Amino acid sequence: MRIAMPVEFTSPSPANEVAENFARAQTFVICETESEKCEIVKNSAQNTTSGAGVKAAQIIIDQDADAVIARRIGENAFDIFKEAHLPVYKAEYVTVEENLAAFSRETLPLYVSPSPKGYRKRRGRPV
Amino acid sequence: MNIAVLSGKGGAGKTFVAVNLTMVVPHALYVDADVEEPDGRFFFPADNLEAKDVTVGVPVVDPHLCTGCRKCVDFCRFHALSFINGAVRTFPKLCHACGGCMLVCPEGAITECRKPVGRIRAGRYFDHRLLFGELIPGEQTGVPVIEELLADIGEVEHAIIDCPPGAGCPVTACVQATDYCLVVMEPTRFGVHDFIATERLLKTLGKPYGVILNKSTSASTPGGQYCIDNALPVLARIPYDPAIASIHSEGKLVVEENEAQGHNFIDLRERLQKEVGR
Repeated sequence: MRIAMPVEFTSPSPANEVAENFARAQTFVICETESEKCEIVKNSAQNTTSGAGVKAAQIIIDQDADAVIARRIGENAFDIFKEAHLPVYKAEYVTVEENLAAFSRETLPLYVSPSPKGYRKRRGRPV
Repeated sequence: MNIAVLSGKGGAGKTFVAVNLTMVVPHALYVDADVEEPDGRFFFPADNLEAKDVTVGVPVVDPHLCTGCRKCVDFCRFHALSFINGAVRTFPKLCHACGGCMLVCPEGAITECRKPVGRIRAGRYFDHRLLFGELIPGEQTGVPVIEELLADIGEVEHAIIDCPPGAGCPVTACVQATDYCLVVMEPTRFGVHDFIATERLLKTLGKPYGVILNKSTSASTPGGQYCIDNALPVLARIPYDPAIASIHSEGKLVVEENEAQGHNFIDLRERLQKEVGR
C-alpha cells in the first residue's frame, strides 16, 4: 500500500515529522508499506492563494496513494478523498515512522469529518 | 462625476464620509460597493427596496463529452476543478467565474450554470437614488456584484461610491468606473501603511486622488505628516470627537445632527469640485 503524509522536508527519512497542515505542507512523503521505500513529492499547492486543499488532494490521488495520514485535513481535501474512496487517518504520533507503525497496527483513527476551519501555516516559523 | 470613497485600512471611515457626502451633493446617487460588509443601508431608512440577484456562470461538465484530458483542471488557478475517479468534479465555492475552463476544453464538454453570489437593492432617500450591493457570505469574490452595481449607475450627474477597503480586486473594480478617488486615512502609522498600498494602486491606474484625514487629532500625526511630505491634497479633516462617533454609531447622518460637520462636508464638496475640475 502507498501511504501519503504531509511533511516539511525534501529528503525522505522515517524520522521526519508529519506536518501540521495537509494542503500547505512543503512536500508529501509517499511510503510503500511492503518495500518500506519512501519517496518525496513536491507540494505545488503550498503557496497557492486559493483552493490549496483541492490541488494538494489531486497530487495525492495522481500519485496513486491508497491512504493519507495527516494532522489536519480541510473540507475540500476531505471531500475529494471521500469521493476518491481514499481513507484519511489522524496522525497521532510525531514522526512518519511512528505513524506508519501505528497504521500497520491499525490503531490510527479515521477522519470522519474535516478539521475545523481557520488554520493557516505561519510563514518563517522554524521547522 | 463618479467619486470613489476608499481607504487602505478598514474602519478608517469610508461609509461615514460616503453617506454624509452624498447628503450634501444634491441628487447624488449613493452606491454601497463594500459588498463584503455593506453597512450603508443603516444610514438611509429607505423602505420598499427593490432587490435582484447577481449571478455568475460556474462550470458544469458533461461526463459523456469529457475525455479526461484535464486541461480544465490544469488551467484553473483557483483549483475549482479536480479530476477524481476518471471524472471532473467542480467546486463552485472556489470558482471565480472567469470562464477559462470552458475556453480550454477541446471537447466543448463544459457549459455554465448560473449561481447567485449576491444581490443588489435599489431605493430612494429624499432626492437621492440608492444602490446597495451585498455578497452572499462565503463567496469567493465580490467583483461580479460590484461590476453589476457600477453598470446599474447609468447616466447620473454625481455618484458617490462607498468602496471596500484595501487594494485588491474589489477595490480595483470600483475605481475603474470613477473620475476621482477620495481616500479616507486614519492618520495613525497603521493607517499610513495601508494608505500607501491603496496609493500605489491609484498611481498604477492613473486615477487622481485626494485625502480625508479622519479621527484627526492635530497636524503632527503620521498621516498629516505623510500628506505634507508628499504634497497630497487634504480635502477635509474630521476631528477625533466622541460626539461625531456617537451620532454615526446610532445610524444617524452627522451632517444632519452636527452643524460644524454639516459645514465641513459642504466645504469638502466645494474642494472636491475644484479638485475634479482641475
